[in-house]
Amino acid sequence: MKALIVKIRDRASELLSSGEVEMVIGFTRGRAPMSTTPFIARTPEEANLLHWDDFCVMNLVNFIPQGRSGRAAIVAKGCDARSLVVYSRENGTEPDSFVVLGITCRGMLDASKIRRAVGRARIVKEVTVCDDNVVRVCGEEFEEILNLHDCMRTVCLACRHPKPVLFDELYGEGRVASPLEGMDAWRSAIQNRDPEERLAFFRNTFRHCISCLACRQACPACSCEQCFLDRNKALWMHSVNGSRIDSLGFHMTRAFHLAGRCTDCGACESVCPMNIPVRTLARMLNWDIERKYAYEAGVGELVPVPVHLFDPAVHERKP
Amino acid sequence: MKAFILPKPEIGNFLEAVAGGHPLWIPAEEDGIVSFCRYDGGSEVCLDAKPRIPAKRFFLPQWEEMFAFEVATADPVIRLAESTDAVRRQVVFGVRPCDAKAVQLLAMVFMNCHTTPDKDIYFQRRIDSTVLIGWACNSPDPTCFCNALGGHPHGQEALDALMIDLGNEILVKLITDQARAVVAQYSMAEADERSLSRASRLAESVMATMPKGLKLGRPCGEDTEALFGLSLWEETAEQCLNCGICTYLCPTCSCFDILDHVEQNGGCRFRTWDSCMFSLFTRQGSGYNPRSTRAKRLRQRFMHKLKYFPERHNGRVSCVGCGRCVEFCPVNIDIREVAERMTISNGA
Repeated sequence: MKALIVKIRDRASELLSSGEVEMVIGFTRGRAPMSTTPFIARTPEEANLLHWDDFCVMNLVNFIPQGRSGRAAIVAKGCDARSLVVYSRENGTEPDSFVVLGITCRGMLDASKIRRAVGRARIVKEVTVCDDNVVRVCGEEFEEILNLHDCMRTVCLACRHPKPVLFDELYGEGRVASPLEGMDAWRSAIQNRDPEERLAFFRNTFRHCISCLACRQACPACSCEQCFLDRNKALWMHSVNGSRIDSLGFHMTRAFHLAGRCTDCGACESVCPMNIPVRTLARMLNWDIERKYAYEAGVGELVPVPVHLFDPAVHERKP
Repeated sequence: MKAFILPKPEIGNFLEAVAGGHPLWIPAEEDGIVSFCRYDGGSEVCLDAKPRIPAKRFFLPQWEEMFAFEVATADPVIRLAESTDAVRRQVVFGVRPCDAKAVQLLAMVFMNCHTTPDKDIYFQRRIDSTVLIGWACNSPDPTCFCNALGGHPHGQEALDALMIDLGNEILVKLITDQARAVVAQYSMAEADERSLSRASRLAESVMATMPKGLKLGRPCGEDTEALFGLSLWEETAEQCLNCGICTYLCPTCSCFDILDHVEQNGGCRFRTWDSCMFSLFTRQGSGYNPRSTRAKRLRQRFMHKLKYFPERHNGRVSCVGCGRCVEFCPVNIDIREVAERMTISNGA
């Protein structure tokens, strides 16, 4: 990991001093253990603050500044790179306006899983992924060895694209653990139920939602200038019948907007303060897109998104 | 104030007795997080983490009906009806001292407002009917800093009772008459000198682990214009998601919105949490938005907590150091660090 950090810093510093790029979008170390912060370096000195570890869970495409004029470099793991493809297509960005410092990702860790595993009252100081599929967690007066699979983010466990689909330079050693099979078994189970049961399943999934909108704000594909929700937030969010806070309307609409555009980076789920498996709905729709159109968001660079091409004459079912 | 001893294995019976009289809320783990849940006999109390949503929710619920209205077709008169949200006496167990202290700060807004002598009746009736049983913190999180805001991990402010875990037994301090009333059915031995001194030694040793040298009260003495113009806001806005986590999980954030739900024959007026982080919060009918950028909204949050609020309320900072905004900020924005950067003059 240390060697990787040095490589990122050196390259960022070179790119900034030569004036090849105006900024390098990456991560810096967080103040608390098991945390990182998205960070934009604009000078070679700032490049020395760039960081990389197993908690770089945010999708950096979401942090590309609006109104950016010059070239930018971006540190990108597999999912960031796919989101960058979607971003570039939707924003009409020239292919060479980014220098992609690609990182073959070994999967990120989930701080809340680790905290739960070692006991919430214990203070974690350092977490190290070892070659033999285990994670060493050190804290004040304790050391625990955990299974890597038990510590990884759920979304990373089934990742099919740890290697960036596009890059100018490639770093990183790649996966320690192989992708887990059967992570998405719940989908077929849900698919075959009747609509009321499916609705009940999704309502239950999102029942703890407090409408903080962190999922939308962390999502690189939630790029609308004005979200439908911001036309009148409270009335969209709150139904008076039955359950009082009803955010399912928001989550369902968001999922539809993401169909074929969501790269399943899991940022929405990582930021959720209520531990809601936020990916569930978008995953379901992505699955439909994959099955029906053999399409994966941000993988084939030039293939248009199926929902953008929708032709009722071809696709609409006749009565 | 009287103190009693509750042997640890009896905590279940104790809760059972309290719940026999009134609805009881306890911290319990559900879907991987700790939150206040209605005690139903079987629920297992979880005291090793702060409840994710603070006890603020019992005084300022995320959704609260203010009143209902009815419009009869034959009689074009609007009838108002008392809210169906009648608040009954309720007991909340496992409240952290920081969250209780936050209720005092909320009361400054809702019951002691600088612009009106009127009290907010919705808040008032919840204050009147809620009994808070505190749980002293013996292992504060790395993100905790209640001591920097005049709090204490074993603090008693705004609590009706405080329970302190002494290992094999729990010291129960009954502070108010309300607390004495709700635990009256449960008989406990009075605490002896030995237990009391153990508790005070423990309080000291926990306090000793708290961070030193934080000065969250400093920004309030700085010049408003100078704070307004800091580059800090634009810099931090590059990271800030502008989500509502920090405000919704905050025990002292009190902003709300009021809306009407209207159906053909009536409806209700309700209020819900709102957040200065949302662009809609200040967007005016004309479309103009005085806080049009992330940086402006972010500045408002910190200025309100650390500058405007203390200016109006005798220097009381609108933060109790519970650390939730630090721990759950997806990009690690830290109010302690922001307060440091808002301390610009060299005065002592």
